[in-house]
Amino acid sequence: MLGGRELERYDRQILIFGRDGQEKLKNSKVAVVGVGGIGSPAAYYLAAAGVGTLLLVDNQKPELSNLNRQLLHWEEDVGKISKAESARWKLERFNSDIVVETFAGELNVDNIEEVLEGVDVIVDCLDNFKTRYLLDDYAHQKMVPLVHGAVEGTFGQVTTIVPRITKSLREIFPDMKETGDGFPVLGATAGVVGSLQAMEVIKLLTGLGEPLLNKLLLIDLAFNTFEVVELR
Amino acid sequence: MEKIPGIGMGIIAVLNLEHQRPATLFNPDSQPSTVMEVRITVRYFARYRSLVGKDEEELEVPRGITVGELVELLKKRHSVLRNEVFAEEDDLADVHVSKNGRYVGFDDVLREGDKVAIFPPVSGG
Repeated sequence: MLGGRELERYDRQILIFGRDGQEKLKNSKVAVVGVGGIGSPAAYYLAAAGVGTLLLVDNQKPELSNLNRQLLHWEEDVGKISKAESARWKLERFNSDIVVETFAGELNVDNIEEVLEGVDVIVDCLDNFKTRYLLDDYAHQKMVPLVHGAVEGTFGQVTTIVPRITKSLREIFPDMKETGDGFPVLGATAGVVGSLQAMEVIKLLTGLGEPLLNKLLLIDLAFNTFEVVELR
Repeated sequence: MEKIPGIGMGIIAVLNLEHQRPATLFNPDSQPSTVMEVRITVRYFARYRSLVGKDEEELEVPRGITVGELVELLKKRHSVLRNEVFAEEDDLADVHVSKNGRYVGFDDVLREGDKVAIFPPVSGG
């Protein structure tokens, strides 16, 4: 049940998907894997929306060169604590009605089942396809939706994987080369992609609108391009 | 010469102003618009757009050409793509292609009026 404070806090979005929708968000657990450029805005908006339990997964520590885009990490966090802990500190103070859990280790084939136990949606905010394929395999094994996002420069891509309904991430991006460290990226681009991913999660959980199922959204903010490609 | 903004630096590109009519990729010495050719539109996304210096162009290509063959032609037409972006001959993994808004593989055959978009999948987070 939503308390009086929650009803007031979420009033403007309850106008969109009703108390039922808000209850669904409250009763959900969402994993944000990678709390960097796109993971920061994704986690921030999911916390703002009132997703009941957020699991933040990231073992890296913030670096100064991250701060042009990774909004949940501040100067005082650089080199000190993991991005998962850094983000939890802010999100817990931002919204005390939600639970924020962390895993500040490296996700691998041996621990993924334990770490992501009970998660309703996985948000892929990673910076490499090696771990993305691991998430994809787990999502299909456990039948959990996976919201994929990636960014480079002013360009980004978003699609939502639902096992048995959509293509898998491996099918869409079979032989991805890694971008490597130091790829160009602008904070505002990561902000848009992370926001789109948060929106995908909210659509999946509340039934609002149409998630990007078998659709790949490509954006290029330098040229005002928003293009949806059919993947079927 | 016209300066085209690219990511991180100004990229100088020569605009192909002579292409008032669709460029023929099949055989530059022959007359364009033969029955052996089909007219398609190629759209460039993300860094491809910055490198090529335009968002789209109309091309005449051999009838029956596949997406993979088109990519080879584009690498010849825009050397900047071959040199800086596209993978080597036998590895096209980092170029993604859609046709008329639908994702297609490299074996897909192009037909008159097709709108082809090429885009680089990205992996940063």
